[in-house]
Amino acid sequence: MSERGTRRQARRGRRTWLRCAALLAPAALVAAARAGGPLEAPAGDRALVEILSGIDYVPSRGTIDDVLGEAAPEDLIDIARGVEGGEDPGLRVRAYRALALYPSEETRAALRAAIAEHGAVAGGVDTLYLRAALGSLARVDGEAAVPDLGPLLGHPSRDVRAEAALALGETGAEAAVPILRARLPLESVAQVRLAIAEALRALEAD
Amino acid sequence: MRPFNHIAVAVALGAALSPGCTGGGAAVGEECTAAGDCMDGLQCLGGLCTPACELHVECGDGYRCDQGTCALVTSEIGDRCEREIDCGPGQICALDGAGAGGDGPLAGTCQAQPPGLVTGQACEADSDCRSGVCAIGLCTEMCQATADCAPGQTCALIPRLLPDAAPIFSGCLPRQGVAVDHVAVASPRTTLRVPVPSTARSFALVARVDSTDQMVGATRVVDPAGRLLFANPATTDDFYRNPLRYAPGFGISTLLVPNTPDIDLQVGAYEIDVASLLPVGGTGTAVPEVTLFYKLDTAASLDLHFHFLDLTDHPCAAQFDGGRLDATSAGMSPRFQQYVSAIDAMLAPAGLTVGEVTYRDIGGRGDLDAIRREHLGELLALSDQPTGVSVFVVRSVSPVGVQALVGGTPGPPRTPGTAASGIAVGADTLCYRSWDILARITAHALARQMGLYFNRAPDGALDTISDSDDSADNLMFFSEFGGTSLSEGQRDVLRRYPGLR
Repeated sequence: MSERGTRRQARRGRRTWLRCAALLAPAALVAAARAGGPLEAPAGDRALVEILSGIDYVPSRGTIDDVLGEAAPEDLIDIARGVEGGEDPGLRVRAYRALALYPSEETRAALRAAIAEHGAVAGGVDTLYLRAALGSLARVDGEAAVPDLGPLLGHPSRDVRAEAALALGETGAEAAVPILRARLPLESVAQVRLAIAEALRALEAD
Repeated sequence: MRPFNHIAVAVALGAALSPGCTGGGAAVGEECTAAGDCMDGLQCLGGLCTPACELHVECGDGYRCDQGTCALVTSEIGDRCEREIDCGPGQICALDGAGAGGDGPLAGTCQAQPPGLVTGQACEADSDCRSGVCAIGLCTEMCQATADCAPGQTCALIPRLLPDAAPIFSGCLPRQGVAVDHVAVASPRTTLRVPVPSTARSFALVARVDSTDQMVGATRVVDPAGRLLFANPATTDDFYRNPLRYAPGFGISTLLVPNTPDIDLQVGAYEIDVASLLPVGGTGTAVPEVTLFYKLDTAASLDLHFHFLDLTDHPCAAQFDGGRLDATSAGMSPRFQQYVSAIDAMLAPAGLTVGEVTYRDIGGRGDLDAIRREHLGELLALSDQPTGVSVFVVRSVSPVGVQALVGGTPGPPRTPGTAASGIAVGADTLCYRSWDILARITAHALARQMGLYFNRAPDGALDTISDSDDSADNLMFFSEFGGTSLSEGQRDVLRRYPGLR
């Protein structure tokens, strides 16, 4: 089989894994929660699950490419979105995070869609999807992400506001400065105020 | 040398024992001229009947307990001695290096007792101690058997650091606890000799520099038999090849010996190069501050000190009992207490138990409520408890998806207030995982802070502990989808952490 054919087959295999995970993961999670025992990994590609589930390990692009190959961005988007309601939330969060390593139109669109989908939710795991997505968008879209990130400085969750402030700092965009400055006097939570101040410092140092 | 007041002890014991004494002989506290004047079970000491001795230490300086009777030791200055009680009143058995070339332990000579600290007190030099011997940071005195030592002490083999050798002598050391030795270092790079006594279970070398821009730590470790255990790795492969897995760190690092049961802790002097290092290579400019911690017992109680950042309005506060989690509520929170119990259960197979648990709020640090790796040191420097491990419960850890951060592998035992003194655990994991899973994540981080490495690292590298497998069932598996099992070797290393009590 040609190299191209091998890759195509590998990719088909991973797609199958994603579908299987969709069906199997909820059952595994429920069983683990009931038993109070260790968390069972979702069924499927062990290497993929491992690199997206590190306690304090953040994989590099090279590591992700080794596992997912050229289909990495597409597969990560699928995992981040969740497939057919069978998503593992921990993997989803880290998939959104990993998309920062794959700048492309497809990635940008997926991250903007995530911000739109989760942007109105004030609590729960949606705030983590949101924070991961907005952080990644800042990295892959730079200045162009400012209009998406700016409004999140008014989000009801202080953690989202703080993440948005830091993400605006990461864009390196001058356009972010007046937005952050305007928000500073309105912000009452020290955590967010300090994040805004740090972002401004980063932007003004550039 | 043992300061002792025979009369006061005799009178005190007499008051306690008199009601039980009957018969024709003299009772405790009554005058006597010989042992025959006293009732059975008593001796005549200093002209008074006193209870028969069992330990030399009961008899005081210059006396030894000989079949229940305190006998005055007579010796001249310069007489050979092998233990403190070979020398008479006002004298010490001073090590003089005699016998350094022989197979047996070093001997000494009786010398006039100088002023100084008593046995067991912390010292920096021989001259600090009345016994004239400071070893592993403690004044010690010579012995032949544990019966020669005070209660709570044991007679151990201790290397004596001489310029070109490290012969062994027998000295009294605490039976329990951790001995702390602050080592004087005068230059950015130095070679230390670390004397390891026979009763040590492990030792940790904590090296610090004031600068966080420079690295610090051991760059070479050789055991008493001359085996190279560690050489500062130039590559990742070198790091994994070292028998002793370790790396210097920015500002602080801790070397734990042994951190694998495949290395025996030997009695003798370890030779350890310590240096500050520039990130670009070469020796730094900062002078390391070095402290040695010797674990002298099998204590296995791990204190946990929880520090709560501001978790108000947390997005997953629904997982907190009453929607609140802080120092006041944690002690009464069933979920939090179950979490602590679960950590305890995960460490139990290693023979460890969670000991004292404390709670503290850290307010007014909005910059640390959600922690990023680059600010971890600032957070951990807020720790203030000397024992166990400090656990900082933060709102979240960045980047999103990171669940815990570890100060060091291992972190510095009994050294609060440093950039490596503890672990951080993100409460946002509770947005998608149970408290039990958070307990496994916390236990994993605690075990790393106590000296264990991944059983299988993300890059596939395996543990130095030969009996730990590479399975996901292991507590040290790097993924959150991991189990709680520990190999016997891993358990052994955990029990050697000097932060236990």
